[in-house]
Order: sequence, then C-alpha cells, then structure tokens
Amino acid sequence: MRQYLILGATVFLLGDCIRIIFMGEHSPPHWAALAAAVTSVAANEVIYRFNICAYKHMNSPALLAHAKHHRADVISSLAVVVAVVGGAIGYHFLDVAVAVFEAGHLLFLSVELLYQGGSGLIDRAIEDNDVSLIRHLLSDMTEVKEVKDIKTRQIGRSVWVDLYVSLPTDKTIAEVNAISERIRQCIGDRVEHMGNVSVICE
Amino acid sequence: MIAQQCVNCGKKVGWVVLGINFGLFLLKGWFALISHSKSLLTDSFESLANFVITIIVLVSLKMASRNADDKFPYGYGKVEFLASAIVNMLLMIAAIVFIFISFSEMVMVGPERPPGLIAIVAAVVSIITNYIAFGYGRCVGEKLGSSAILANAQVSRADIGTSVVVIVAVVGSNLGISQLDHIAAIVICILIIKVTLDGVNKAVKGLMDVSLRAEELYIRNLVQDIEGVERVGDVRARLAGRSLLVDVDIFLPSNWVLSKGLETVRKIKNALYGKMKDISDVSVKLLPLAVTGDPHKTGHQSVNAKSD
Repeated sequence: MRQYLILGATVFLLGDCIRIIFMGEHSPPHWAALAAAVTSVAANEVIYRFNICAYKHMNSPALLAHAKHHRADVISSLAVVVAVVGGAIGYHFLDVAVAVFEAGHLLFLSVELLYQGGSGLIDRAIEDNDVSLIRHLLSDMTEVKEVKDIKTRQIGRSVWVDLYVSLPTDKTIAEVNAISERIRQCIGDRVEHMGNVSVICE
Repeated sequence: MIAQQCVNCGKKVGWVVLGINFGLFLLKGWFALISHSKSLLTDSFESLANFVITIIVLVSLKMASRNADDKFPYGYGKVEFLASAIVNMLLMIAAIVFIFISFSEMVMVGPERPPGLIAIVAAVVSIITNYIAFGYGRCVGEKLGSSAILANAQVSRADIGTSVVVIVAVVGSNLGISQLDHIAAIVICILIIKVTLDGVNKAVKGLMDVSLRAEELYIRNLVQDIEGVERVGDVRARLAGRSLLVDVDIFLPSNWVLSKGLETVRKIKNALYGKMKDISDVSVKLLPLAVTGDPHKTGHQSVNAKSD
C-alpha cells in the first residue's frame, strides 16, 4: 500500500510542477522552509538508521521498505535546502527543478519498492552469496554424493531452502534421516534467518 | 491432459477480450455523449478499465509462462496472483472515485434532463458482447486452471450487471424518476467493488500459500493406498499460479534402505501425476517409523525424497 501512496503522490507532484513551469505562477520559498528541511533531514536520517539496524537483525522486508522511504525523505529534504538557498541568492528556477527531481526520485523509489515487495510475494530466491555458501557447505560433507539442485525462497523474514541431493542408497531410512539432520543443522547454523531446510533425496 | 484446442484458446482469449473491451469503451462512450447518460458514461469508463486490466493480464500470462531460473527457482506462476491483486485494487480505486463523482454531481448539480433512450442500444450490445466474453473466458480459465483468465471473465460478467443497471436507469429517468441515472452510476460502482473484493481475496490467498484442503484430502487418500506406506503424515499443497506444488510426509519402516524408500516415492509420484493434471512438483518426506509402530516416538528428524 505504501508503494501505491508514494506513486500516487509522486504523479500528483509531477503534474503540479509541470503546471507551475508552464503557467509561470511561482513565488520564491520562505526561509522557514529551510528550517523545516534541515529538521526533516536530521529526523529522517535518525529514523532511517533505526530501521536499517532493526532490518539487519530481523530481516523484515517491511522494515527495509520503511528505511528506504526515510532515506528518500532525507535526499528530498537536502534537495529542498539547495532549492531554498538557491532561491535566496537569485536562482528561483531551482525550487521547481528540485521538485521535478524529487518527483523523479520518488518514482524510482516506488517502482523499486514495488519490485521488491512483488518479487518477495512470488517466491524470489535468496542472495547468490548465500546459495554459494550452501553449495560449499554441502560439498564439504562426505555423505553427500552430489548436489543436484538448490531451491530457495524468501518468506517474509525467513529463508526456506529445498536441497536436492544424492545420498548413499544402501543406507537405511534412519541413517539417511540422521545425515539429513546434520545437513540441516550445518546450514541452519551458517545461513542467517533460516526458516526451513528440506533435504530431498534423488 | 489439457486439450490442444483449450491451449490455443488460452493464447488468444486475452486478445479477444482486449478488442471487445476497447470496442465497447468507444461505443458506450459515444452513445453516452449523444444520450447525455451519466450511468452509460460510467459504464464506458468501466470498459476502459477492463481494457487496461486485460493488458496487465496478458503481460502476467506471458511472464507466468517463463521457466524457473536462478532468481525464481519455483517459476513465475505466482505472477498471475500478483497481477490479479493489482488489477482488482486499481479497479476498486476507480469505482470509489466514480462513486464520489456521481454523488457530488447528484447533490451539487441536482436533477437534469433525462438521458436519451438511444443509450439502451449501447447497453444491450454491451450485455450480449460481455455475455459471450464471459462464457469464453470462463471456459478457457476453468480448462487451463488460470486464476488470471477467470478473474478477467468475472470482470466481463460484472459488466453485464452494470449494463442492465444502465437500461433500468435510462428507462426510469424517462418515466420521471429524477436522479435515477446518477443513482444507477453509484450502484454500478458498488457492483464493481464487490467483484474486485472477491478477486483481491483470491489473489491474496494464492500469494500467501493458502492451504488447499480438498486437494490435500484427495492426495492423502491416494498416498494411503500405495504399497509400502505405513502411515501418511502431513500433506501440504500450494498453488504457483495454475500449477500445484505438493509436499507429503510418509512413514516407512526405519530399517528399510533408501533405494527401497525411493521406489515407494516413485510409485507415489506416478499415482499423483497420473490422477492430478495440475501438479507440477511433488516432494515426499520419508519418516522412519519406530519399532513400536508409533510415529511420534521417532522425533522430528526426517528426510525428503524426490525421484523422477
């Protein structure tokens, strides 16, 4: 929902800027805007850091989206500072130019957040580094004869992994079960935010 | 096995509905301007919205047909749910906006002259065309098991209801019931919102891996009858667009060797693939049965098995 709101606000902002540029009915911003912008930069940066710290601990996509939103606000407010100072020293066009920049910036952000949120919903794989780490851990285990495939997906904060491996076919179900438990333990200890590991024999 | 004719229809249904919706938008829009009918104008905008929706459905079907890759190892099937959710939410927002517009016109402008009876012609054409589009879309959607095509067919059916309301409004207004045209426009929007709420509900369930109880029970019964299976544990089925991904836990004697267990897995997979056309992947978890025969004493350790 956040992405749609940002997208809607951005389109409105862009339309208003284009109207102002063509109609020419623009007055320079007041110095009060500078104070508001500087306060906004500081406050949003603090909120961004809180959120990004919490995201790293909890792996929550919602917190990452929230953090990126506040970082975008920081950049927007910095642009406002530039616009207000520029307007004060005679560069009045900077105010409208900054508004266009902000609209474009928010447009990119909303598309990025939409992609991240949407791809998470349709079972996006985890980072390549983590998949390589899992493959490396499996290759170090003598019981694993071959790694046929590794399928991963991000479910909210958790990582779910399906491992398609060849294990010795002369082992009993109880023994194979013990091996797969060791595999689960090993991967669960090394890969962060692990939700579920399934060892699938082929 | 899906008939080739259904596959062919699946490829062209989107384009057919796309053409129908654009044609209806132009026809109803033109007649709305001639007849000064607010309800027909709302109806024409609904056709325009349907046109946009169909484009999104076409793009999502194209994406959903892509093979699994490193980025999306379970395939792109769920794109259909995502597209369905986005489409329905956009349509819902449009309907809410139209309610506000109609309501404000009704209150601010007050009674206007009744719309021309010629608006009925466009509404009748819309009913017939949308009925054909709905029947065609439902047939293809059910045969292919595509939620996106079925959602699009439901949109065509909703359009039939809106055109009926237009006829009632135009006739009623000409019989002297003032404001009926505006009220009809609001009723049309409420009908649209109802359809979109159902669509969003289904799409969210698909995206959230809702449990499919009927399919799970059917799978459990099939697996129970396989030779060698001592007991069936958890059965989980989830949708990836049109296809079904299945996980089954079975208990086997703990002293069986893995090769024998994999043989049982092959039998299970053959039975499931043979009986259920929608299944795209089956994972069977082999759990050792305790000597006493009590599966709970074996603890949580388990191994999944897959054989092709």
